Amino acid sequence: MKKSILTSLLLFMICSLGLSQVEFSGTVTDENSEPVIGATVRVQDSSIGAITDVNGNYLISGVNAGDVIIASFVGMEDAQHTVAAGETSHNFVLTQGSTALEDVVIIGYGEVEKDDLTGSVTSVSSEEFNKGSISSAQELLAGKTPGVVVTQGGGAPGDGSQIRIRGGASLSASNDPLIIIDEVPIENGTTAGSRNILNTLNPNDIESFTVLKDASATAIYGSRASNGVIIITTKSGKSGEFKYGYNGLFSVSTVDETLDVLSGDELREYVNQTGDDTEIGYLGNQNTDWQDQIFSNSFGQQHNFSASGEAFNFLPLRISVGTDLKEGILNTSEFDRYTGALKFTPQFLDGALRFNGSVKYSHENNTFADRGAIGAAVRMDPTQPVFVPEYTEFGGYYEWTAGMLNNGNLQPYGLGTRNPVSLIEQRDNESKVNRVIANLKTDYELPFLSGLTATLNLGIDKSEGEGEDIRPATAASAFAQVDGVSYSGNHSVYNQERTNKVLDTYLKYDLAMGDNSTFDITGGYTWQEFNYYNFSNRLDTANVEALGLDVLRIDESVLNLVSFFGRANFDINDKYLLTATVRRDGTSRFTEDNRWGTFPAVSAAWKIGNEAFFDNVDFLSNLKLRAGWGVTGQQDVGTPDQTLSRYVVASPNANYLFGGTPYTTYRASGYNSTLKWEETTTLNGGIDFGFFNNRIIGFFDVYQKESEDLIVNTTLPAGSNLTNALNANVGDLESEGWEFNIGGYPVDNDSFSWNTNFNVAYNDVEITNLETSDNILVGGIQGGTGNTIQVHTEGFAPSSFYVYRQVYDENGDPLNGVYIDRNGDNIINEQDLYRYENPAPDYTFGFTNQFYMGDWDASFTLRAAEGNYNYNNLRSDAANFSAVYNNTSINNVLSSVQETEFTSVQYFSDIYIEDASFIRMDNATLGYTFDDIDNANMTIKLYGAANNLFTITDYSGLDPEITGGIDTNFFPRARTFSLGANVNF
Amino acid sequence: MKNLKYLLLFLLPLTYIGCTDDLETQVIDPDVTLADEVYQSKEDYLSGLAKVYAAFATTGQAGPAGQGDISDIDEGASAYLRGYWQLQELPTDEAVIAWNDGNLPRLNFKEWSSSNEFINAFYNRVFFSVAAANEFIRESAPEKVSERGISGADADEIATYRLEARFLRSLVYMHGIDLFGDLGFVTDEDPVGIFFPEQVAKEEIFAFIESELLEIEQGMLEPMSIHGRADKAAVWMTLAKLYLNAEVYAGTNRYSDAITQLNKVFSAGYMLDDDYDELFMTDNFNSSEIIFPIVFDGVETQTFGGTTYLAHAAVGGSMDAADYGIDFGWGGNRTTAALVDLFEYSDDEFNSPDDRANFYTDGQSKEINQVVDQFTDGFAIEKFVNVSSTGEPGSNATYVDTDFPLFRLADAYLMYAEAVLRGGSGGSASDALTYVNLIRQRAYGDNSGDISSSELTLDFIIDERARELYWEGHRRTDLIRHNQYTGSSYLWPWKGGVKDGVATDDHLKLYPIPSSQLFANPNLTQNPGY
Repeated sequence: MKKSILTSLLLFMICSLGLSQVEFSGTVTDENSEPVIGATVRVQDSSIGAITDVNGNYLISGVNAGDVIIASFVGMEDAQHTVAAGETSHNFVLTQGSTALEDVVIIGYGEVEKDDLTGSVTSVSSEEFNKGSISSAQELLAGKTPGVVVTQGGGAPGDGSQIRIRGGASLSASNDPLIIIDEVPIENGTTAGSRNILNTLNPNDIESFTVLKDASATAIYGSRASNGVIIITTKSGKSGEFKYGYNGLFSVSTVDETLDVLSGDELREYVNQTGDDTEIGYLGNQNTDWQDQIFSNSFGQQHNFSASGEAFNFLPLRISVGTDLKEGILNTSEFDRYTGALKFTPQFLDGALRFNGSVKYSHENNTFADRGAIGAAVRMDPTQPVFVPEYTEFGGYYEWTAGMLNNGNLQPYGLGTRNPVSLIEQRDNESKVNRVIANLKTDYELPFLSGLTATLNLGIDKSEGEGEDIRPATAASAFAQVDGVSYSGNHSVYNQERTNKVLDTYLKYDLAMGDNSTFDITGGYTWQEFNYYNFSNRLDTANVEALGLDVLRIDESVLNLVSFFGRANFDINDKYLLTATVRRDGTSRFTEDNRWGTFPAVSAAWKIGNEAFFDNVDFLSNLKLRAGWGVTGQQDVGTPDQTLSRYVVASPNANYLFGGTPYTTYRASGYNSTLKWEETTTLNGGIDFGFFNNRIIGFFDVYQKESEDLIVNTTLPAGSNLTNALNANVGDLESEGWEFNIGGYPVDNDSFSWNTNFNVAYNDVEITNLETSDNILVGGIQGGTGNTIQVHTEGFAPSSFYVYRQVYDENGDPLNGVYIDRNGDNIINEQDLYRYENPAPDYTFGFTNQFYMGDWDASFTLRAAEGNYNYNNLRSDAANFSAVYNNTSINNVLSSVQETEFTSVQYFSDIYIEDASFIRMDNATLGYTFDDIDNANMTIKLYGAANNLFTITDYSGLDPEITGGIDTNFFPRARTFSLGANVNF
Repeated sequence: MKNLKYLLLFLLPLTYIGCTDDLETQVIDPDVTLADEVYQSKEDYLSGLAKVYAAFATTGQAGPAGQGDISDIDEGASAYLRGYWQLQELPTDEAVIAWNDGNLPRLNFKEWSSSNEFINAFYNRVFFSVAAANEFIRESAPEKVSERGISGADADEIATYRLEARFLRSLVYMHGIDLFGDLGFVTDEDPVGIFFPEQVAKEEIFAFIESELLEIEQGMLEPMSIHGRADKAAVWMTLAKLYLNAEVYAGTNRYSDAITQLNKVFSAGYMLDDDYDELFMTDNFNSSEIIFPIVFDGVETQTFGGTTYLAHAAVGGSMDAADYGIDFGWGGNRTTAALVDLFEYSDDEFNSPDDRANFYTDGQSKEINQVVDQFTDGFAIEKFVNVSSTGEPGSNATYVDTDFPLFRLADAYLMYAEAVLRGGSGGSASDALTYVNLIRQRAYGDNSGDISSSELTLDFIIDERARELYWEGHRRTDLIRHNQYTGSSYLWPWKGGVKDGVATDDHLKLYPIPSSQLFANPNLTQNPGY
């Protein structure tokens, strides 16, 4: 970064050296008469120009009378001056531009100028978003701000992403941040049938993300804020004439890589050498590449149209519609989304009465391909063909069989790997999801007391998903047998509704006290209700009756939250800032004694840069020290009725017979009436800085978080309750870390400008206490029954891998099933497991760059993580020779079997815990803008973009970024290339 | 001040402020009922009792899996009978399992520790059953029943249900002390919450079980009243087992009491079934020999435990699943040569005159070189099947119809003979010989297998129990009672993790208290040796 500043200084010097006969000079200052360093001063419609030096001075040669000279600087309004005859100098005063409005940051129940923030808050606006073929809103944010880790759930089109702010603060409870979309806090559950909690948002409609990281910023959201808060604001209409925009793109997604498995010939050779006659007899004569059969390049397109302006001379509004149609690289998977958004912001009574309303609607159509095919394509015997025409009972697909049924049909072999192509093609799993998020916020400046504003916000988030999953009678994967008769196929349906209503009302009082001192106080009440309804059933009634299945299920729940909150801000002399907040929250999730929690926070900032003793440090334009403390909570765990003593009536297949008659069973369920909030106390310190009139800005934050009373699904003293484990407040967690961000315009002149942002974050989490358990096993894997690979243990990071230490021979080759006997009792059992690494990265990096050169622009984003580990479950399951002989069938294995030469399955060897650190180029773009069309009333930008361009990693699986760190049937991320156009008129 | 009218806009919602009534927790799920509302009638009580029974068979409230009763393990592996069977059979000569699931293989070799998840799961299962029984006993207290407006014959019937819940609790506690020794002890007097139950010595729990059973005996149903319900005979059998093992459980000699209880069983009218194999088939609900079954049904009572587990896990290798009425084998359980060698053979093909020698040998080797991941090492066993005595497959190829005989008359005969041999009074050696030969005659189809009075020894009994009762969940308890489970007096293949068998330490007679419980309950002390 330092280098870049030097470069700009060098440029300035080169310009200064180009002296000629006709010189024009002057200074550029801001409103406070401070010099503006690095401002561009140029002659309009020419290539002549200069950059101001550290004193704000500029010098241009070759200026003629009548020339228009323009002075500009990032974040400030341009100023221009027409040169009069004989004039040789002019001093420009730049004022904070209207773009400074963007420096207002939306925070909980209000907004604040960015300069006046006291907590750790970052805002990412649309110009900074990731670009290219992006369907999910979370991806816009990936790599843009330190301490926010966005991990895409997978490569399926429309897939959601996991967001972790500062690593999360919970164990069993949700670690998802609270997300607020246009004043409506949404629920953390994704509606059935939808791929992503944020799929209702068209990424093109998003104006900004505000990320509240520390408790002093989040405590206003109390019991739901322990994992941070993300406030999403959508674009709104500006006053003035209507402007229209279109942007669209066409994309092609390609299969980056597939796993190395044995070819048909290689497998044949192995079985011929090691198998008996029966096993050799299973072999076919093909060389089928099963992965090639299920993956292919796929296409997508996005079209968005928006109109924004002032209607009827009083109603600023923005309307947009969009479509996003995208196929996945796993055959048949598809995501189609149609969105519409309306936002209006009228004002009345000279701005005293302001409305801010929005409606966002989305309709999502999904086709889900059976992900089981991904693992099946690795395991399926490549010596077998895809099709066997005479296998009409399987629709002509090859399957492993187990003899003949009474009806003369072949019976699919129950333990055999299913034909991956059949899994995909003979399944139709579709969903439709409608969702509306709407709100109306009213601010009214009360007439009888100046500075007093009342606000009322009413919001609703309602979604309904329905889907059906059909497998025909010929699908071997849906085979069952009853009374000696076979039944095939199934047809299941579901329907889910989630409704979330919110009411906020609060009063704010602003008081200006002179000497640049202000005081404001906000107090209010909020109410929220979450309704949940889920219905599932099967429609293949003949099968259902024959199988005696209980398939109709209805689940319903309701949850209410009620809160009171207050906040006071003091700003003394524009130097000392103090913020105090408190929130009192009640939830219906807990019993009366534990229902209410109080969440306080205080924070302070010192704008040390505004002190007189910094007046002479010209290069320093901003320096602020921040410190904050606060308490937040987490209550999002388990069912809303878990604290009550309740009975669950069994489904008909869990009856018990007395005298041959079935009786429904009633089970008293375990309950913990003492359950209460988790509480996280955060300490945060930070420094904000800006150099050269904020041309380079950045911040550094350090934090420490202590979570207490963590809700953990914990083992109970046997006999004390009605089950063996329940959610209870038993754990403590501590995390600490730091974040550094720097960015700006190292180069910014007429011909070339470069905007860059680099961030790095470090986070370390440790479980400091688990009152009732030594080890909580988590992280189920594929293979065997009920096997887990991770553990929560006091003194270690959550979800540490829990494995045996592999023993190697003198050549460094691993020995099959030989492990270090850590406790020396000559027995290898779970006492010899040790905790080895964990899936969370230690360091994360983001690096964004945008370049502008004339009408050309280019950008790229790099993202990296260090210290994250994965359990390569595909390898542990399918990279040993014993996996070849699957009872009365043959399975394929990964080629890496030749490295370990393991002869039997070794799920718990640490050889499968792999370093998954990576550097990934998330996106790169190149664009050209035509801005002279229709008398400059229209601009057209054409661009090409590539997403997921490359990944550098040592990880042996397909993709190092695996949510949760267990790599099983991971839907690989595609590499996507797109061509697009943005048209504005 | 016309603007004041806009104030109304704000005053309206302000009426919400302070409204916190919404915070009362609500239950609106149709499958969920609050405890105070669930018991309205006799039928509701029978459904409550049905769960205390079903706790031996199913794993949760949605068959075959879903809404599990306990967690921390795969739901199928959490089943009571599956867990009990594995703890009773895998560390003995009768069974080995091929599955490489977590620490399951360790059970084959007695290489467990206090954090073995299968031991932990069964401990949890025991206390799930105890807690379910306690809950029912509390809710069926006479004053609660009458508060709920139930009286007369219905109330009387509920009183019987309550005795049955107490019986089931006693049975479970007997399994508990048998496997784990001293236990954190709770009764219906304890609350439901999170507290630390006191650890009670197994001798005291023994006394509790005895007094409970003696107290409820008279109020129980008459023998053979209703299939699946525990009756007086089930109480007598439980008492008899408690007394037969009293030296192990409580250090006291109670063989005479065992004989007293067994004589009551014999006078109740049970008869040996004609065909041994039919005891383990889908229509074994017709048996005149089974005294107390755990009832299964392929449609109504679906589970991945119970006989579904026993029938599927036993099939693998070249066995044709259809022969056993199931969709496919799970390739798990086989036996060791030690059990095979307890039977006599007429030839090298392992054809035995003993009808009970149900070994499947085709493609299986008698010797085991590899226990795990190699189903074909060790003979397979065709015992629990999903086929009826007339050859009809069960109602569902996945979930098996066959009941599990927890107590049956042949077991009672052998217990009687053992109690007599161990010096118990109230019985006779000649009756013992008669009973044992009844079993032998069924096995051999004639008198050729009869033994003489001099052959009727404790050594014969322990072997005959294996021949008659193998894979029925008795072996570990039997070997301990005969001092053959640990130490070097009896070695079998893979005892102690060594192919030829090796002496094992005596502390292994009891399983460890799970380490998760030692953490959860500071009142618990670990068993010696762990």
